[in-house]
Amino acid sequence: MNGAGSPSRHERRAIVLVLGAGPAAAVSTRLVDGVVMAIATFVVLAGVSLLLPLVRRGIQRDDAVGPGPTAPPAVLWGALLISSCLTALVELALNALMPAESARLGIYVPLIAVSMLTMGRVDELALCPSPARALAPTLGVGAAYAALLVIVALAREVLGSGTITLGRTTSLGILADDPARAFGLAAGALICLGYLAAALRLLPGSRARSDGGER
Amino acid sequence: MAERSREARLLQAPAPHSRTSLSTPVLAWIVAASLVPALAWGIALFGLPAALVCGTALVAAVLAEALTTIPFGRFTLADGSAVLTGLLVGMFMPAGVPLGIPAAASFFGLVVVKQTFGGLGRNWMNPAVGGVLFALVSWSVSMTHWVALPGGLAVPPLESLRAALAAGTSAGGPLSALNAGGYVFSAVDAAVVGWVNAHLPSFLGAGLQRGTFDVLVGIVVGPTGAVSAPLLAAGAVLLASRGIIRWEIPVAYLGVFVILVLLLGGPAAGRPLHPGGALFQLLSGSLILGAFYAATDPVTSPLVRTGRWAYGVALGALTFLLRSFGSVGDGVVASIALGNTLVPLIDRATVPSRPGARGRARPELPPGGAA
Repeated sequence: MNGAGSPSRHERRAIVLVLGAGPAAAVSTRLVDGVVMAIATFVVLAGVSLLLPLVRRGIQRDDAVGPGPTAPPAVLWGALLISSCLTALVELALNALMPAESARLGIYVPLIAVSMLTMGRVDELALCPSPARALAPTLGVGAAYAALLVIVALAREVLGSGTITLGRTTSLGILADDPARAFGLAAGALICLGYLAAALRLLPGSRARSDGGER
Repeated sequence: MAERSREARLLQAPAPHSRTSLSTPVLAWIVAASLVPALAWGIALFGLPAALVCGTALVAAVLAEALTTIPFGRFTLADGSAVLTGLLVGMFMPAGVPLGIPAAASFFGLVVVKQTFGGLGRNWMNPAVGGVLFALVSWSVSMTHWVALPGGLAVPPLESLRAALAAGTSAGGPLSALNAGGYVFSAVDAAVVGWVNAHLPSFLGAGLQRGTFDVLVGIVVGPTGAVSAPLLAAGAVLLASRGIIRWEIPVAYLGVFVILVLLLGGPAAGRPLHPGGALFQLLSGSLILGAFYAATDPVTSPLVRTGRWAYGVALGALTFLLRSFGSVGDGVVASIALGNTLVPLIDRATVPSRPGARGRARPELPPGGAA
């Protein structure tokens, strides 16, 4: 916290990441859940990055981007509307194509609309002059989030259930006899996310390494 | 000449200026040694399975410490912390638990709870508590694999009491409930209680109940190292007398717990107040082991006396709540884990920013948060 009591820039970034990781912790108990959630989030992210720059000029009263690094309120509302519509479409498609999986994911598919991972991108998307300039970084963010979900889901299912479920369920022998059920709970998800974050910080060229290991 | 000799007696040196022979490794080894009598009692009671469980936990803890330090150029096994963690994990375990579970618990405690956060002195949760809690949550059924004692004692008294209360066979106190429910106490208990009731006057008009000796001494089914309250308490008194553990924590912990049992234990279970329930609850489960050895970990307990009192009060209340309404073991390990998460807040509220300052003074944090 800075001296004024409001969150600092680093704390806001941490808040965005934690909230974005919430659905990851909730749904990543099986590999197939993680894969489906990753695809759904990726589709919504890509849609928002394509449509928001197109409609931004119509939402804003003038061509000015707006004061400071944050998007104007009208653009934020527009982003939320676009995100909600795309999420509804994704949910309907999931319900039609994979009804059992849709029922399993439950409320977390609609929550993509307000996922901070989506909304955290709004400021940057609002500054992009064209959809092409917005799509490239969004694809990277979406791919990273998808990878995170898949890795965490795989680890949690292997350790917490002793199985791998992707199309069909494969039992992993001794791990399936008496698995560590803590990994199927939220605490297990946070442990996996923590170690994944630590592993990413060890990668050469990571931001944590370049800024002196700042948390 | 006089001035020169005065200067020679002035010694300039950096902190610390107060030194003691009780270094961190010495403290850890002393605490580990104080656990040995209670551990030996548990192994004598439950036999080879208990020895295997404790041995597995110990070996796994040492291996985990070695694997996470030696490849990185550090050797920390000599500080005794890994041995102490392994001992505590084994002592919190039932004697009949599959051997993979104490190994996993020790490994989790050492690697995830301790080494991940920087090693000894940097963990925010007691490693043994974290490991045992992980085992309780992951393998809740296997963590109730008790070893029966000769004579038919096969279930811990606390679990039997819950069953007896649920069946409605309770009258007059926990031991009465257990007796009415058919709980089998040892022949030694029968002999001692019978002799006392026959030869010693009863000032209250009622004799000792069957089971009193068993519960007092520790001839009951329970966690391997937690059944013998007298041996644990004796070790703890020795540690407290040397200042190795802070007495405020167990006194506040057990005091608040007893008060809550006396005030609320009966009505919460739908029965009138059980005056004898407090002693029974105190000696049941792993409360004594947790209060004296896990909650008093100097790394994960508050820094100042006021904070330690608050911490003990919180632990007592949490243990009462979790034991009465929870589903994870007897509530001790979970409440200590929860209490550990409160310690930074307690320290923030109680530690003065300047030594000797009166009252609470919030320490000034550097920009960007604590380092």
